Amino acid sequence: MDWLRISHAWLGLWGSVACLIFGVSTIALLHPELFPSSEPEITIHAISAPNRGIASHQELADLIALEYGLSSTPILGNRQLRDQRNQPASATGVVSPQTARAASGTSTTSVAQPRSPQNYRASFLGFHRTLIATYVAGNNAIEVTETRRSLLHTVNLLHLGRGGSFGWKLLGDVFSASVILLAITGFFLWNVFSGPRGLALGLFSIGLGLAAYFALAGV
Amino acid sequence: MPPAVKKRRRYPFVPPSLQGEAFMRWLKRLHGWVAIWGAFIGIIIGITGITLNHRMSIGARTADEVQQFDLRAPVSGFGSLAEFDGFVSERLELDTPSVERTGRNAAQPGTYGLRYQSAGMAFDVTFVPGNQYLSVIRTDFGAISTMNALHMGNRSGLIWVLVLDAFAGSLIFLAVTGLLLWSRLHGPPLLALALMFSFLAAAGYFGLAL
Repeated sequence: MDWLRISHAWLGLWGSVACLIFGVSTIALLHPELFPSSEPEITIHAISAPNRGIASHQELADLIALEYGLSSTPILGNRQLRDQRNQPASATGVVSPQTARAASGTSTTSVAQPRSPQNYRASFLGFHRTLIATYVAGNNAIEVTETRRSLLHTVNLLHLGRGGSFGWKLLGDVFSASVILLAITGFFLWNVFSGPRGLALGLFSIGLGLAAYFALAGV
Repeated sequence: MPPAVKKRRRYPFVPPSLQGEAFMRWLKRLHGWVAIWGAFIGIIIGITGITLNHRMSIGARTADEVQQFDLRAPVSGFGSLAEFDGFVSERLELDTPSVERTGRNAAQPGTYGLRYQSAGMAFDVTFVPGNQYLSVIRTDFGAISTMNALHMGNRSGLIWVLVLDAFAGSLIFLAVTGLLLWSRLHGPPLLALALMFSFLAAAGYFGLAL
């Protein structure tokens, strides 16, 4: 019983800060109307490109990292464009001769469009601040879009794990696992804390019943 | 060492004046009571915390089951959305409030579209004036999708959202009382504080870095 109590205590203590972060953001996420969401602050800077131009996404990323003193790993290129390009033309299924002809008709018009110059892009994503740099070959300036978020907004994003780094993802997983372990070890510690285990089982079942009724039997 | 000194220092995070046996027992009980009601929800939230954190790879892999069937409409049609709602609720024996669908069909004048949903299942019902039948699409969501919806409070009513709020409040409460209940029997307080701050530092690093 002693090791149970001690592991519950250590695990609980480690997760207590996470409990605060996730607890507060749960309420903020469930009731956005109560928290006037401070819109993220977006600013666009132009920084001058080197005279010789920029030849790759990586070069752009290195330049921006140096300029802003960033150490995180950037996302290179435009993921959306890359996905479109990687999609095979026949991805939609079987192509009939008619549709093939129609498709070739449309593709001739797209070929006729002027080829746009080479675009370079590097995105540094963070919960609190995001920097997206784009450079069009031949331009004098690199355009940098900087987004800064309020603390509450940042905490909400941390909760959602959106755009997060691998380290935070791992912390989120460990915290989730701790909640499960704390629930289980806490259950076995019940009579140390508060009373007979039958009562705990009763309350536990009420939690289960509440979840099942309001969640599943709703329809 | 005199026992009085030892006792006073037993709970390093509680002010000395509150370290009496009665207060500490009360605090322990409160911690237990608040925890036990949320324990089951904690397990759901914990599991879905992981499935949601990796939603790009795990996602809602358990498949949703979709069925379609038709319901005979009254000959006179429907005079209002409320009438339509009443008819559908009665025929399908639903007691959840509906939400209006803003699908393509619903945008046409005189067309009614309603959705009745819970975390586990949903009915989408549409009616086009002049038709003899209502179209009903029933979706039974897969287990992971259902639990994810519970975690996020999606497709759920006010009461479940309140349950989630209470759970969030409990997390905060348990974090604070848990710290107060830390005793020297568990370990040195300085190490405890260091562990706590290590998480805070990690959150700060990953959250505010860049």
